[in-house]
Amino acid sequence: MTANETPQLPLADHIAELTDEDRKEDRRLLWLQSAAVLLVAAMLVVRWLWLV
Amino acid sequence: MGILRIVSEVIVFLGAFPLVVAILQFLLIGFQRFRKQYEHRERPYLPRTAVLIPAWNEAPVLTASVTGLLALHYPEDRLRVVVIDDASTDETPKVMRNLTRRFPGRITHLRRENGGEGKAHTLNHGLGYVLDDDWAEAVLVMDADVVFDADALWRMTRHLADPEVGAVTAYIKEGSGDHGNYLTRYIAYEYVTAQAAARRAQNVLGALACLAGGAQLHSRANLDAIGGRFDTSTLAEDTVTTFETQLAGRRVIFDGFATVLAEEPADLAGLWKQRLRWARGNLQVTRRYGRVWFRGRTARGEGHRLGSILFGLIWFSLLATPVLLVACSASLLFLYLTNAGNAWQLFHWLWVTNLLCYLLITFMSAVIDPKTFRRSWFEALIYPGAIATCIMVITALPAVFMPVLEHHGILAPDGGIHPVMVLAYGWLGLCLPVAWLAKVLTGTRLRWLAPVLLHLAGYGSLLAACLVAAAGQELRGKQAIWDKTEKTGKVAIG
Repeated sequence: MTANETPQLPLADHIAELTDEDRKEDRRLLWLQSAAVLLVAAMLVVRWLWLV
Repeated sequence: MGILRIVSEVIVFLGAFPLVVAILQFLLIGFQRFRKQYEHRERPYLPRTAVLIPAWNEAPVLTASVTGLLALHYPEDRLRVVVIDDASTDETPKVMRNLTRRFPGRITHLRRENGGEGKAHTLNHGLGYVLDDDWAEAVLVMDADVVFDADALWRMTRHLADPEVGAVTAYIKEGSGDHGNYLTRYIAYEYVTAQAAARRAQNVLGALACLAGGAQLHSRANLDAIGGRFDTSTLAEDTVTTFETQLAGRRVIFDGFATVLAEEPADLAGLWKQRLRWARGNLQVTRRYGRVWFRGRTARGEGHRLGSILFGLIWFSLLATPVLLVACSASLLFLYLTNAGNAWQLFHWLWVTNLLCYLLITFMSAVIDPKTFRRSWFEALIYPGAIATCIMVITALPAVFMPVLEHHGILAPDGGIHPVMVLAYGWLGLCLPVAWLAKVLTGTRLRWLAPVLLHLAGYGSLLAACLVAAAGQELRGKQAIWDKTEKTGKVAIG
């Protein structure tokens, strides 16, 4: 059997499902990373306003 | 004097360089979603995979890792395990006899009667056996102590469907769990930053620094292209393989969702030994690929991005960290002793920059691997060292803390020279010998002081001190010996 032949159906479904989850997690990471950057930027602004 | 001051000021700015480069890297992480690494395919790509496990006295861990492998979510008829027994003197042959009897036809036990030459030699013995026939379409190299997540292998093989990808590595997680101690929690957090975060960023960059030695998958075509064997001339055969793959025009991918648990050193002496080997290996690789660094666009024309400016900065900022830290604190001290007011401005700027980088790295690490972060949050908070963390907080909010310090007589009220400030200005350099002292004390009656010193100086300082020791050994030309890390099998138990 070579890599191109279809594996057992349950395994193929399992893989498709988890691959979708990985893709979603990658998208989620971009948003969370942006939130982290904004949070640090906000802290910097608050500190600057306080010091002024 | 004027020139000396300008040079000192420039050096202080350079002191922030490693953290700023780290932040540039961290900012790339989220953009992995645009790399389209998990494109929909009609069928999953599950090549016939031979797993190579080099083993020298691995009896305590072999049964768990091999049975774990055979239970992976992967078609049984497409997975074979080859254990290369490097003349073990423990129960390894007996364990292997039991395993081959239990799983007939799925496990091969190769025994080298004259071993002890190192991991790369052992691997080459197994690789020669695997490549001798045409069954294997991919080869997974792993360590005997690692335990694969049930879905890790197909997550790795899916990238090989793209013929441009030559090799894939997984996210090695520190695996002691509840059996761990402060040191394994530091390592767990380090791996979130150095693997889960940094290697994702390197995926985006298109250049990967290192395939984890404990979990690397190669396409057969890639192994053929790099000569069908692993490098035996350095202490970093995994990094050399990573570079050779990319220089041969194939991509190397890190899959952060393919997770693997590994046992890591639980004491400072073991960690020092392991990291000394890694640091020496990296120095050897730096010298070996001198022609590759900072080639910019030329390198892209050659089919790889190892020569990109950012990748070069990432690589060399790590290697230069000890020199930059010591030079930075020496410059700060010089400025403080000659003009305290001006020195404070620079000191303040440096530590606020450090704080911003620290906050970003900590937040992003918590987001990338929340489970590990929950386990090692304390070590994450004092990762730069308790003293450095205090300096960051105090310099970020001087209006709050300075009057308090002056009130308690910790600062000189007239802005003069005060021992506490001398310590603070010199801390970036001083923390290296303090971290080294923590390692030295592990073998003495004062071993209880080691964790205290490490918490004060910071885990990163220990790695920087280790790099200095490695550079010293390389300069002296000390013989490179493969020093295996002792394993107990606690990952398997956990």
